[in-house]
Amino acid sequence: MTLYSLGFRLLGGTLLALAMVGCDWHLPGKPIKPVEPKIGSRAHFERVYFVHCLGCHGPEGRNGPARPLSDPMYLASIPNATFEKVVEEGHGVLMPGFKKTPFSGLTPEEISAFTTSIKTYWGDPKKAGSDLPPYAQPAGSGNVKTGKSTFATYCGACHGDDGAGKEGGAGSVVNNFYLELVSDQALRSTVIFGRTDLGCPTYRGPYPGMPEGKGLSPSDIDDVTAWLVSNRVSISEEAKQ
Amino acid sequence: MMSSLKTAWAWIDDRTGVMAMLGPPMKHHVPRNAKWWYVFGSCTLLFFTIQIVTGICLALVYAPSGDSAYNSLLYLDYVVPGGWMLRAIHAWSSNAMVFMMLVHMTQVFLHGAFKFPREMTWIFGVALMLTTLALAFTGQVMRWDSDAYWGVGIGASMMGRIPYIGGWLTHLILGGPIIGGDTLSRFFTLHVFVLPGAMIGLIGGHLMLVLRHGISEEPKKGGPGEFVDKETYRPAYKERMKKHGVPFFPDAAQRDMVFCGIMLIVLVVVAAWYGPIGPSPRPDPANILVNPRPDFPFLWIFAILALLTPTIEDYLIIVAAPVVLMVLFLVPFLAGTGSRLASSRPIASLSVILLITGLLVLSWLGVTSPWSPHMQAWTSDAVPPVFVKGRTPIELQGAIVLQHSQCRNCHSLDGLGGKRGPELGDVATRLSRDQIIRQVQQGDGNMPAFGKNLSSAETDALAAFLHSCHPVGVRPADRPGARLKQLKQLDKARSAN
Repeated sequence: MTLYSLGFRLLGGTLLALAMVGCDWHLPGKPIKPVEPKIGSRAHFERVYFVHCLGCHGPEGRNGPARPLSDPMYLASIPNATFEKVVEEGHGVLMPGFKKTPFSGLTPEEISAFTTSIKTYWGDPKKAGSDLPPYAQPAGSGNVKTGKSTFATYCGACHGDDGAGKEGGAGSVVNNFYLELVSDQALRSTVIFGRTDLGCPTYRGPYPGMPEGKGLSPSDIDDVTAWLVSNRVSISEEAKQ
Repeated sequence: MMSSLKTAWAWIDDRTGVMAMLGPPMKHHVPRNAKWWYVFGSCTLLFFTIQIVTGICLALVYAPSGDSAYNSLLYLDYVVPGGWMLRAIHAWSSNAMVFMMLVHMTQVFLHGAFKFPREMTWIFGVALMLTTLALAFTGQVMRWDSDAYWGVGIGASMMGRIPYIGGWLTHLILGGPIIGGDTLSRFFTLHVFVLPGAMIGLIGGHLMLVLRHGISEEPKKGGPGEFVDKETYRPAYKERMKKHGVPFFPDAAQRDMVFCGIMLIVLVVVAAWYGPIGPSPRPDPANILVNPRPDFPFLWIFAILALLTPTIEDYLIIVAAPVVLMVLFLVPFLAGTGSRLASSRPIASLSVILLITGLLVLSWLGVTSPWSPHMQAWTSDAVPPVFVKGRTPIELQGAIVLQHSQCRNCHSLDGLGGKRGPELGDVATRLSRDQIIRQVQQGDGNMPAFGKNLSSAETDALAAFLHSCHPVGVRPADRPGARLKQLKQLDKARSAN
């Protein structure tokens, strides 16, 4: 075969390949038109979670520094309207709101679909159980003095009787900087739902050193929350001391 | 049938004299040893021809206006049958043309083919290189996406630094004070009319000079044409071609055809496999959720500009770039005679090695661009569970502060996140808690100061978390002098006892 005939064959092969492209063959480089996931679909839920929540709430909704969202008890307890408001406007010092802006954020319709989806896909009423304590602290409830002793009984094994932490324990929960960064509701949520992904029990226990099945009653939860909140010292008060 | 065609062709040839015109160039003698080293120029021309053909086809659909250009690309990609392939071939052949042109220039430079009497051929070649790069740059702007937008922005700001005429030049290029529809019209005119016209003229001149001075032999130790002497080179070359030369067609042209055929297949395969380049997100100056980067020929410039300190940018753009270009044009006058062997020209050979290494490294950095923040890392790169387990409540809040303050856009944890700043997964082994607080509050180098953005509680929590980031079994860094203080206290206690 001469170089000329080889050259012509190569050119012929190229033209044939181009003809195949002309017939719109599905080749690897053919761009696929991106399809926006339908609001309310699993794909939409996963995309919203991946883009907006994964950083703090962790992969699969657990093992992140912020509250786990794949917690059936939490999802069964939080009212829909509250959940939507938290996603839209943020909460406390560090949870940002994800309201729609020109370049990012979520529309009210997307937020509503997302909170519904998260309850559908990660919620489990059976695992959550019944007779859950109220999500929010009832107004005027909680006895600080009783809360302190209840905390020492149930939580002292890990956090120290005074909540200031202990050697090899789970750290302080009365550190003023910590209390400045978390809201009252976040403290209450931790008392109720714990951080089971990190080894901290829910209000149902089991608590270290306590018998199996021995948990906090709704009034215990109110008391412990009230005591935790009472440890928060404002900067001006701190300056006076 | 064949006799009728032959008769028709004879008539056309008789009336136009086409064979008399094309015959001498096709039959001109080239050195017998001009083999596979000499195919790169023809291949560059092939890619340019492909650009012209595919460019005309694309222009049938492309709408060169600010509000329609982007949509016309989507129309080509998703609606026009084979439109995506047309875009892919056009884009990849542009990259291939730049690549092949650089290979051709390297070969010419290393073989000393720019020396006497081919100085003007080299100068035309450098002008062709600049025109090719200008075509590639203006072609990128045609996509009218965020890469195009920021590319034009950087190009315009570079122009704006030229003393006295910078402002005027920027206004001329942009078609106004800002990047808009007029900018696209100007770049379209350059890309479709001015630059291809200039290119065709320059190619014509380059080929005319190639025919006038002939193709130089491949330099070999002791071989013909190893040394260039102004007095003897021309007659000796003429004599050698007369005695030993072979006609360009068909002897040399067949290698060109085979190489071009192979490259054509490679181009089609690459285009079919990787598809068209871009478009990246729509152009919008307020959208920071993009990671714009230029096309392959300009990645090295992108890297240089990103890595340089701002204080020397002006000197690089205004002084160094014109000096380098001037040197490139003057190469045949700086070393116009003497040996053509690369092994006898150490400075030339080393320059090529350094230049290629530099371009490759900078282009690689341009691809990976570790200095670009990942703008969505703060919400979409999870804190790895290993940095969550066993942490105290304040440390967990610190991890949230790390995310919330968007530190992850520049810093990674366990390799996940931005790469602009140092990895934080082991930061406690490098910085004490006090040093972490100082770094966060005051910033350093490229890192902004967060002192005014973070409350005391946030700073404390962040420092607590970061100070917990150290490998298991490795102690975190102490405050300087802390251990000394402990030892002194110990000594004091001992002496008291």
